[in-house]
Amino acid sequence: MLCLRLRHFALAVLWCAVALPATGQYTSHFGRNKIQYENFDWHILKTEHFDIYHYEEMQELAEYGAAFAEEAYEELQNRFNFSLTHRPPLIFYSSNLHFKQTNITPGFIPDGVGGFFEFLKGRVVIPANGNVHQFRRVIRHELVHVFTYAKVLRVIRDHRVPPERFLPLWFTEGLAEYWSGTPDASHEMIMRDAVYSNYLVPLSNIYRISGTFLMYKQGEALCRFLAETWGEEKLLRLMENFWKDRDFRHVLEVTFLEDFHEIDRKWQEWLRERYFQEIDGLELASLEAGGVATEGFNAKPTFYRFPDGSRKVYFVGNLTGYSNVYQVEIDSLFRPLGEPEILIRGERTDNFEALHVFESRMGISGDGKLAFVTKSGETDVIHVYDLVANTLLATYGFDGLVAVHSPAWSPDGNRLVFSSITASGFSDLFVYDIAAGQLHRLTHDSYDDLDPSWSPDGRRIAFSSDRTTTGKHNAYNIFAYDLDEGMIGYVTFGERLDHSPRWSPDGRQVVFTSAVQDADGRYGAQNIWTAEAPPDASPEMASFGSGAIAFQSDVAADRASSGRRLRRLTNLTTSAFDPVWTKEGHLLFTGFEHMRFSIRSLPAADSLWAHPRSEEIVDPTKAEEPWTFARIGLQDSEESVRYRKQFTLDLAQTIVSQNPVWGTQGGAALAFSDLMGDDKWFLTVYNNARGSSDFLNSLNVAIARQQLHRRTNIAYGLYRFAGLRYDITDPDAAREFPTLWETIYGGYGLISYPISMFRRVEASTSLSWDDKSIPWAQVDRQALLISNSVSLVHDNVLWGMNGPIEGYRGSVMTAWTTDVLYSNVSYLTFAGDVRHYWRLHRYITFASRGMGRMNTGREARLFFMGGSWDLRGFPLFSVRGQKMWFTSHELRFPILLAPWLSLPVLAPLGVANLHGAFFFDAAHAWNASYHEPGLSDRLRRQLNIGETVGAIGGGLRLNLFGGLVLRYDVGYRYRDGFQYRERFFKQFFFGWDF
Amino acid sequence: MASIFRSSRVSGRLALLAAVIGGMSGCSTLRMDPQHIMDPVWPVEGGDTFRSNAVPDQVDPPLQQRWRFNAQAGFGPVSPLVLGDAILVATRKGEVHAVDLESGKRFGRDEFGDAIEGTPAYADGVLVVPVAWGGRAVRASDLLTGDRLWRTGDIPVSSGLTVWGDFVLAGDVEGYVRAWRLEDGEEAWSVQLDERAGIYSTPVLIGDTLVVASDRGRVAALDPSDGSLFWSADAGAPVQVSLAATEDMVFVATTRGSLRALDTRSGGLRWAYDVTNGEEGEYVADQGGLAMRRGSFAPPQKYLSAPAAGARDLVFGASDGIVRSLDIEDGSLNWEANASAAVSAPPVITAETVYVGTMGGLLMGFDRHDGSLIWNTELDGRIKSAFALKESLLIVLAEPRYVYAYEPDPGDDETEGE
Repeated sequence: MLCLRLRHFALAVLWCAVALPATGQYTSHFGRNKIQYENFDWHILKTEHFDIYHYEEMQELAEYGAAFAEEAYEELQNRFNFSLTHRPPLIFYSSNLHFKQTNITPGFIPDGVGGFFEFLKGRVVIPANGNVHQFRRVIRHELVHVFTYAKVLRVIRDHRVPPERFLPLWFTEGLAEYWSGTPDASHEMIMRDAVYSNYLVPLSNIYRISGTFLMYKQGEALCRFLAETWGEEKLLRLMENFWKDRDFRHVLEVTFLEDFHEIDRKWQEWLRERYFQEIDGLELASLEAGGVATEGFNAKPTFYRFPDGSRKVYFVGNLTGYSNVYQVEIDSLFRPLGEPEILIRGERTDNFEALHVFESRMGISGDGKLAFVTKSGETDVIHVYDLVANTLLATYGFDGLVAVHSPAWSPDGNRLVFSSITASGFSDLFVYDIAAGQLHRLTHDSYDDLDPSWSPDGRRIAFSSDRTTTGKHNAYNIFAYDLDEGMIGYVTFGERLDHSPRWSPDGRQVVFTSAVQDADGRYGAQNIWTAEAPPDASPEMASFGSGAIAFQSDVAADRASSGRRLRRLTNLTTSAFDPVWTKEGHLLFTGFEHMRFSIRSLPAADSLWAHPRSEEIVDPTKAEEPWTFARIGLQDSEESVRYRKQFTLDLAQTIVSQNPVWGTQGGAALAFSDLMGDDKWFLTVYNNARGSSDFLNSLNVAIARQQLHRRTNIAYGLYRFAGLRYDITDPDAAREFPTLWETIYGGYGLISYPISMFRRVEASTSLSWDDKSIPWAQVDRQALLISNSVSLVHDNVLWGMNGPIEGYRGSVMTAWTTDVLYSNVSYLTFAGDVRHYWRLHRYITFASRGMGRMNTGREARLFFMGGSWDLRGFPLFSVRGQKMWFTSHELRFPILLAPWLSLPVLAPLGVANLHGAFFFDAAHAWNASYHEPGLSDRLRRQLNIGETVGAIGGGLRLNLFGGLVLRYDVGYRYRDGFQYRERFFKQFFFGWDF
Repeated sequence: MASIFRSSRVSGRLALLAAVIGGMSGCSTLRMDPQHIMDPVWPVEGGDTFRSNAVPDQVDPPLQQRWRFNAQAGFGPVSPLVLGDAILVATRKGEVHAVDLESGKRFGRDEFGDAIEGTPAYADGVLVVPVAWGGRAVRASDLLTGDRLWRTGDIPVSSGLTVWGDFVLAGDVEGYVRAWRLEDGEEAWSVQLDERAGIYSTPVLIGDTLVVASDRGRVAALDPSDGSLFWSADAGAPVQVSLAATEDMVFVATTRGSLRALDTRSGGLRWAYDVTNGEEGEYVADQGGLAMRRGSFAPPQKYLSAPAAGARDLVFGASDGIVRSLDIEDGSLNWEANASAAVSAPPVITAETVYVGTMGGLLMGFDRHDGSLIWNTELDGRIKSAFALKESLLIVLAEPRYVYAYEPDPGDDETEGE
């Protein structure tokens, strides 16, 4: 389902390489665009063990990262009892939005990916997200992979076993999580929920959740269980025993000297003992709180009461695959009055390119203006939508601010406060004065400032931050920024994870979520808490440098000495997020339960506050100096240099084939790229000589280069192709066995400019000398061909497991191919292809496709059709013509979404998503005249031209291992404009739906 | 649990097929002339049954490479054996190569099935090889005739072998210590140290006492004649590297940074040195055990290498890249030196110089008295196997698959020391 820009680009190069005389005859390929908005000026910071790649704007963060990497190296060297003998390249990006532009992986990177390690060049790629602790943790995680890979590779090579095997993903990711640090709050949340909701996947079936977030957390829990039970040494022993058997279950048995199923049983028992002992008194959100929106994944609720008295809850959700802003009307008891409706359609248009479902809250002003964030182009922007007038009022983007999160309105509705990650990679607070168009920066440091909320009196802004003195241990507390004095004070204090503050309607309390560690260091459930609002007299606060602030005046000191009272309002099994204390006395929040995020409401917030589940007194006067991490600066490192491209081998492949008809043929392909993956070279050499004297004449060589580091992608190359060619598209070739001798020299260039993530313009040109010979047809012609094309491509479709399920994609292309020397060839090409996918129901899609192609002029090539990709019931290439139209319509519906639940034996085969389809295909191809009246019946039937042919039928689709779709179609094929039903056909194929 | 050690690589039919192919292609054998094996100088791991890894002679740095031999596979923590003018090197591919000490040329090779992790044992012309996977884990060959003598043992053996009288002694990966008759491979006795524990540490033989340790930290002194227990002690943490000994003490290095000197006769703790907990050198009692503290994220433990035991000092490396020399009598620190990468192979002590191989691929020579670096050179890969010495020739096994012979360089112009 990776709609890779690189894929279409590489394919385009391939198309050109094999059919250069007429590049124009092929239509463009679909796929979204991965855009390089930034031209990163890469530098390398060389530390003792690593090469740290970074750009200048994030120098400080890179210095933190360098220190974290060296710190992790020292630790992992001990944990693995192993040293690296190479210098791994660590490539840092200052934000996820910059990270998404990397060419090191060709795929699209979604929100929430913390980094990756790739095997080809051993590169570690990590973005910061404003949170230095998280940055540190991800560096550790990825370096565990680096060590694991190096160690296992060594085991494989030492024992000379075939390298096709590797450790299972649950183990490598689980180990990386386990050795990254103490279990974080999300780990505890997931494992608690898995145990309480009984969806824990046994070790014996863990392949079913391979690659999922749950697998990461279960893998971590498994590694912790193994280490706590048998000692960490056994984890290393597991790697050292890895060569003994392909079946990792057996390796587990010989390492732990236990039966595999017994290990599995003990692990589950260990988990249950761990979590069931604390279940007494816990409350399920689904029982305690009313559901406002419980289908799909929903988060970041906010509430507005309209002047007419109606009430609506707004949230960001993903019910169908696309993320949208939803609205749902509720009654006075906060019960939904209907199904949620989409207010803003996300992920389909340039303006609302992506919604950060779990990262950015929304704010509603008193007069009903909804502020929310989407990615739009290279940065995030804030949109303001008038809920009363139901119209988008404005969109604000800010120079220098890359990621923008959680806008909140001032009480007067004139200003917005939000957090933002700048190019430096740190998250700070900003206020935007809408009327004046001015942006003010409130904080400017390396602390992670999040989720600001304006107090009802307009004088303070509450926010969550790790600037607390306990922040070095990854604690977050709630702070208040005094706008009059420009100072920051503690609202909560201590080693807690306090997040998402919002003010109570009267401004006397701040409601927030918090997870607190127990005596063993484990995080408990994340509950809803309140804290007394800080004193509003600004002289009571004073600054301690750039970070922590504590009360200073006598009055405040007295008050603070008695501590600040925190009240826990809930006692949930897992987690609550983003609480909102509405004026109507309800608490709206996001609840996590049964691996699902839903919007819920608790009535009587005042009562909950008056009768809290527990209370805690914290004392902010104990705040000390702000924390900081060590850095490895330029002066400490061995050297820092500007990045220069060095090409290293990515791929080397040789092929030799023998064929009784074509003889012995052989060739080699090489691919090189630079470390950033921005620049790629491809070299192909191939020889199809039938004898030694023919060797040079039959030499085929192509060299191509792709440059991807700019927004406009460029490819160019040179080639020489010669030999006997089978070309079904050549108008001079024989109909039944279209072969010809051809020698071509030439060069080509391609550019692809992405207008947005969804649209691009492509242009190509080629110049080639072509010598074609068809002795039996007495054709012998030379031509100096120029072929130019330009196309426009749009694609915003959403993919399911078997193919597109919603959205639209289309392309139009025109090209001109001519012989500038002899005028032997001269033709124009026009092509269009439009596909639309209507979602009739969550699991039912109606897909329609229309396509038209035309080559017209001298020696115009033939298009072809047939086979499972388009016209079903007709063999591939069986429909040929210079002009053609085609339409296809398909109703796709589910039969069994998880067949392995009914038939467990299918599970190891990765069988999923059994769908059915009814289809209708029709096509018409012709050359000179639409019905080709002069053509003999035999030739008409042979080429299937001059008549409308088609097929009607149904089929089944089945996904294997998430990436391979089996398609089986049956139906009748028709001729003569569907007046004649020719025959029944059955067709089996591997490939996505169109 | 024997059934779980079935080798996936060899089934009966495959073995038959391999035998046929081997017969057609000409099997390699390990047959050596008597002069190759007369006067063995490093016949067991560590040079002697104390695993002292120490020689009284001096090997003066700088060293120069005399030859390099490609063994076609990697090595376990095994030490090569030096018998007369032949070196026997076992690999993780299951082969034993016989290499001429002077030229570095191979003159014999034999295959023993699967990987060899522990050092083979040699006695009276018989080579006994431990195999780390599959059944029939201990295999004997006659080095003079090249004949296979016997195969025995159902449980893989990953530690080195010891010969005591007519017995071959070994610990297997299920925690059993076993004795087989050298003559025919018949098992004489076996005892299990711990349930669900493996033995990866090569035992030491001190007179008529065999001391062995398990990866659950149990250290036991046994009577090699019948396996009866003399004493037992707890190392506090898993033991995975070979033990070392003197007449009076047994030295046990653990995976969690603790080195303990136990009394040979009673097993009582003579001293301990700790590099993980508390002040370095201060021994923190009862911090070991296998399980990690619940709910905690344990600080990284430090794996210690097997120690080398000289007359007055004990030298060992660790995963933290520090080489430490202790007074052998009281465990006080003589010196420590930075090797810049993890050290998992035991050092070797010569009269004035301690040689250390690192996971960073460095072969280093430290002054035995103060730990100052005298010389180092970089090899092609990590050194994670024990050394062997014959006179002034140092045999080094290193990744990816090379056996090196280093000898003193008569010229001193290329010294790379600090």
